[in-house]
Amino acid sequence: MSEKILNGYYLPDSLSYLEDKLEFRELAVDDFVVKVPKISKEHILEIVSVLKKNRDEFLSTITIDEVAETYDRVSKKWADKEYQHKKIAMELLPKLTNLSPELIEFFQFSTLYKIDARTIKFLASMELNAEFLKTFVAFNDVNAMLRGFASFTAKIKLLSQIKTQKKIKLITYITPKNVPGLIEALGIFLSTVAKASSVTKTPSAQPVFAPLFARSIREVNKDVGETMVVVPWKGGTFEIEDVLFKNSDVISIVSSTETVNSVRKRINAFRKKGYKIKGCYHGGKFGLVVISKEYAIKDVALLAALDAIGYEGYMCSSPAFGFFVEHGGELSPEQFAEHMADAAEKLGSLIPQTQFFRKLREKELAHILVDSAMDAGVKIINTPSKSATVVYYPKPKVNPNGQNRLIKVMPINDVYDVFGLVRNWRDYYQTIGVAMPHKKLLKFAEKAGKLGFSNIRVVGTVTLPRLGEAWDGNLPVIEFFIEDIVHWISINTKDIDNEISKLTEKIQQFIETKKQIIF
Amino acid sequence: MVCLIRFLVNPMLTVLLEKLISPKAYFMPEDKIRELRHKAIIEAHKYHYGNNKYYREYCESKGIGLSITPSDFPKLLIPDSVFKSYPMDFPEQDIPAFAKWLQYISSVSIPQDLSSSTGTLEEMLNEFYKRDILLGFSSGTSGRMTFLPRDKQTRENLVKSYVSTVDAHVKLDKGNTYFVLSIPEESYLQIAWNGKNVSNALSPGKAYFAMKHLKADFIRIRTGKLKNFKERVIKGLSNLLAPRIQKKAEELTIKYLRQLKDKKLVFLAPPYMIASVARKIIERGIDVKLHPESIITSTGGFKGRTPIEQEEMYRLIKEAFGLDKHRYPDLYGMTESNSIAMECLEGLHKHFPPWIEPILLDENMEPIEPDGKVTGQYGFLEPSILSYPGFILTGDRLTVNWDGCDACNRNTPIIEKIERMPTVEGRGCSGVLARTVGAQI
Repeated sequence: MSEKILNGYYLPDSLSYLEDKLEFRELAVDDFVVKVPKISKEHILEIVSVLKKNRDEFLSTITIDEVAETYDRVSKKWADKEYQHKKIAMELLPKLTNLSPELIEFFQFSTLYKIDARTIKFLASMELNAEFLKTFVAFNDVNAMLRGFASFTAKIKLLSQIKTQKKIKLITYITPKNVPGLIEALGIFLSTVAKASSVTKTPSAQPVFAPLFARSIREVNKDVGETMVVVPWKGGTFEIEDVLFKNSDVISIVSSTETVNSVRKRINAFRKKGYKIKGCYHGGKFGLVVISKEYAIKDVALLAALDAIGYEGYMCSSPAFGFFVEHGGELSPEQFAEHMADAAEKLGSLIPQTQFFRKLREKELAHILVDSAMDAGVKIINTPSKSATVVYYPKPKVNPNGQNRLIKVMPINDVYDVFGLVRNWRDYYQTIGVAMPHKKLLKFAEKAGKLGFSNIRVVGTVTLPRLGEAWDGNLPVIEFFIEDIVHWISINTKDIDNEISKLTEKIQQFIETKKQIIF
Repeated sequence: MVCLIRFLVNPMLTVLLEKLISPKAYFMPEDKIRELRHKAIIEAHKYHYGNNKYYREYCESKGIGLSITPSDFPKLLIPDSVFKSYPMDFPEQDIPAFAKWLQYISSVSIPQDLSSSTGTLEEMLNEFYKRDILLGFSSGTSGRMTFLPRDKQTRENLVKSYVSTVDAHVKLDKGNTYFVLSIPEESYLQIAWNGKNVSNALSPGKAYFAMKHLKADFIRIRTGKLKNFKERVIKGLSNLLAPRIQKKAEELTIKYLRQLKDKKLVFLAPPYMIASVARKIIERGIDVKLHPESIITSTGGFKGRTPIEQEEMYRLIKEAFGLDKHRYPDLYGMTESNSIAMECLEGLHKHFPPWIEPILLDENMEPIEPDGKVTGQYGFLEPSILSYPGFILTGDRLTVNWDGCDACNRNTPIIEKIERMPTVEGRGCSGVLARTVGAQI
């Protein structure tokens, strides 16, 4: 089979002359050869200079309608399975990430399809007021609610910072490998919404998706395509990163806690020297799902299983701590676990797990089996095709090892019990998946926000972020402009009861028709 | 729970092990030895499947039943960390729970009627040993000790394995060869037990030890969790005492080596200690030139110390002991294994014993085809271990040359490089965190 060449980078036309100066290494993936450039400090200086000039030329006067139309069209292109870039991505991403193509389609691409004109307009015109700092406020245009927590002085600062929004010219993104493609795409897109150029550092294990996505943007809008660069370099290369940090208005990093802390330290040092850089830090987090007794039912077990499958448990929101089911419902917590096993089996045939992740689960299972012998009542349910393993712990055991479709189910007497159970993991709070009635939810979310959680997502959507949600206590786009003085928490629905009904219908439809649906 | 019905070792397995565990097996045709080994592994699987609840459940979770073929072998591997997964920090404080855990992972009966606690870990290990279960432990550099239960038959197989390996590599004047061992004479540290018992099998009563006793509690305090303030103080003192203990052991080693230098001897020590002893001998200008048929052998690696270049080791050994590099074979073994890989004197290549099935896994945990020179995570299947499934996935990464050694006629693959696997699996935020902070909170 002949080799196909693919560029593992993206340079706009105005920087195409750099290609002659670059050296490349070749990464063989399947029958593709991915050309990965070796970037130097000199290259970065040129990139930064051109991107800032391009931002003034192409983005300073762009209308939000034009941005919305651009990304709406890009999104539609990626929704077309015959689209050439998508076909390449679908061929290579499974090889580079070990995730199954079905999983990539269901979780990664379906999130990209949600970048539509309506959502973009909402993001660009999102207005915050003092009401958001008092209670959960439902947005008019988007199915979400938001609440901020801040001290009195922070509230005043916030309102003044909102009024005096500065202009930003360049955003640098350092992206992770655990959620392939999604973070890179969102970064590029949010930069344009903020009317800034962007430099995206791709993860070394997966340098393919972001360049393809950037090329799609150029196809739709050449001017917008002039305001972004996608290049790889070895994380922690100071001579490259220092140039970028000094020249960027915003550095957004999504990575391991260790890397994030290291970058934060360096950015703080630059800030002390007078560089006006805003750091947006997204380190490692763990999630959990809480099912109240009203929703301890078979349909919800099906939705919950979907949360366990998403990104094989490696998204920061993934319920790595497990699923906590309140006693007193139609299904006991143990019965709920049994239904989750059935559901995981069903979904496993539509969104299969690759051997790689199955083996990781089996390795962890070698330890879980010991738990089952030592703790009375621990029940291990392997699904018939071994596509998932559900472990029921009658006494909650909190350890964030619920990855690779190792689904841990534990009983609680009251939904609020979870806060005590996970209290030792405060630094890693982010997402709680929920199935509970609306009235109960608002009170629960209030408490979660106060404790430091930032995302409440309806069961079934825990690994399917929606635009307009908070992220690690901040708000996308807005976090570029204002300091981290408010802790934001969002609920990704305005009417959870109705949402659960709709999601149940959708997932049933997915199982019956085997056709992709947008959650 | 104690199994009431135990499957006896199939006589066929006994016969197969008899044929496999012998010096001759190193020189048998590769296909013949492979056939014997595979049969033995299949029989050992049946035995553990019938006797070991944990192993049976583990196999069932992977869809493996009683009957297997060699293509199933990689699926049998159990992560070595399972053998340190006991549910308490200090087993001697809750012996019934520890014995229950031990029974779960064992394929032989573990006494369940011991006292509920003992004052020290060493006393607990004594109690088990009195009931014919050796609980050998590793040095616990990761902060938690590994305990492996060995019954009498498994211990006998271990000694036989070691002796066969030595016999296949070195012509020892058995009964007349002396052993100078830089290991404690009395200890449940597995490496110490092995050294003492193997030397005794080769030359009874001719071993000299550089240390008398090394208690398990001392090692746990040095490397693991501490119970109380008193232990914190002991740990502080032990940090001061450790160099003195090593110095004392080195002086005793020098004394024995000088005393026995004209006799045929085997000097076994960790490589850093061999180097330290050699440097002292050179500095002092004393004559410790050993008998030309003596052997110096190292095991255990550098344990966090800066490794010494191989050529420098050879130079020190030549200058201090008068032996060239062909009398200095290094060994590779581990607490979980019943065997050791020894360097041949001809080519100084570490040969796998023929009764071990090595398996290398790639980064996707798929078995790597045993062909040419390959590198991967090391797992092994060792059918001579009867008290627990000797099917272990280790934390080592080996480079193995399946074409074997070009300097000798042993027909087994050789190990060209030994490294540790990275301690965390870099698969994204939550995965990494679970493995890095999980144990601390």
